[in-house]
Amino acid sequence: MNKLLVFGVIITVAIALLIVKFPHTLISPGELTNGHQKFNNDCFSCHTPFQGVPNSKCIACHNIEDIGSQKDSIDDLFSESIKFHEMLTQQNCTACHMDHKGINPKEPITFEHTLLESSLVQNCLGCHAKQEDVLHTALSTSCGNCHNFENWQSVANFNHDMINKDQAQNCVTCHKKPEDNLHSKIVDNCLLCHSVTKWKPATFEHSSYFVLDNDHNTDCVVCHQNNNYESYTCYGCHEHTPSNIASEHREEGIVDFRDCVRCHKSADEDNIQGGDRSGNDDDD
Amino acid sequence: MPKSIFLKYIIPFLLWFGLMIFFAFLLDYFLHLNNIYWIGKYLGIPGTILIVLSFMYSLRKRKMIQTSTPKKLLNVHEYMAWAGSILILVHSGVHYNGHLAWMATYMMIINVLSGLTGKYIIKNARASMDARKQSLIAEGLSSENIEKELFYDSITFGLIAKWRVIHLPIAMMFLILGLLHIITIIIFS
Repeated sequence: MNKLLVFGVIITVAIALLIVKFPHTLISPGELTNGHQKFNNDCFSCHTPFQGVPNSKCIACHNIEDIGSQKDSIDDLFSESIKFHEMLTQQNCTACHMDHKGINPKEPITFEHTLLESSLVQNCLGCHAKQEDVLHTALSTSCGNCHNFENWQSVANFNHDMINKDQAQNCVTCHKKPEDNLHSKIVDNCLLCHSVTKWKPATFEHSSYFVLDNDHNTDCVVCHQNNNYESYTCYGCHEHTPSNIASEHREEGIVDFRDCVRCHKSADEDNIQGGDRSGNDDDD
Repeated sequence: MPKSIFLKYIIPFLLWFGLMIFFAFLLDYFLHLNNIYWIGKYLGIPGTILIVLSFMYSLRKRKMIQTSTPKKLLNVHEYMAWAGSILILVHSGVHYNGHLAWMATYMMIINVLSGLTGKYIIKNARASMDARKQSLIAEGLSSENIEKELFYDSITFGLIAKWRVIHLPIAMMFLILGLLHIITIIIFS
């Protein structure tokens, strides 16, 4: 047991000496930022034993009043747009700025908007540059209507009513027009079929062309083949075949029956419109 | 290696070690899935407490405390240290940079391996070998044949018995590295 204690003491002293000699390798939780590299082996430049990193150590180099101004001689990372440090409600540097995250960390700052005064926090453009894309230039209301402080990317409250009215009708400035045959031929306003609350389902009035009753409640591709909504076929199902359709129409003296929906707007055989039995258009 | 020892002791040994790794991954995955991975940073505290409490067995064995019985506390030692190690492994998932913390983690894993060796292999291997020897004697085998039959068992037992000798120094190394890690965290936080 005594041997074990002696072994323990020797090992402890040896490792403790190594820690003092090589703190960066042995105990540093991560690489310091580029500007702090010179402190790699001098932990107490920033840390005070048992007190973490007090503001006084940061302010000794970074003067709060000068952060964001040309007077800040430490580095040129800060721009005028973020000159708000002297207006923070709490002067706690490490609440936002955490080091040991790499030389050029992806997320060097964990900023909390609650640290800002209420007058400042409402003025997003005081710090953030306004997006110059088509959507954002068309918006008429404040950022907070769509964005929140927790996550700038998650837009939970977007409403088309916030877009300027003259821009709101022009959907394709923000939305990509579908490239299928149906949409590529349509030049009318998208809002004729789609709504601004939900893109799908669209309210396309198929009944204007042909009523999709119970017998015709099927997939689009049965009639519109190869994603081509310009044309259709009535021979996509087992019910209609070219021979039986030809036979039935010739019995009635109809010779031009290529465009079925010209006369048949639905499956109702008592509701046949247009055409005549000679095959000529009745509206010619 | 004879099947008897492998199936009875090595498999449970690997199973308990594998379960520790599996549960650590599972807990880490759960924390990441729910975006509460930061909790892992603080699991080092309950993990350490569990491991420290598990050392009541060592104190009882050396008569430094009189609570409970050594046998009961040995069970507590085994399970508490195993559970604490899972929490420490998740805590290690914070991906710290300092080599000291990693050395403490590696030493903890070695310590668990050593502990499981004691739990599953050495203690039971001795009993198994004795039982087998008695069985061979009962069958009327000569002492020469018995030695021949038990040759691989005794080789296996001899090899694994060496773990027992180094278990305490390993535990001591883990204690030192863990303690230094904790001290540095307290100093710099």
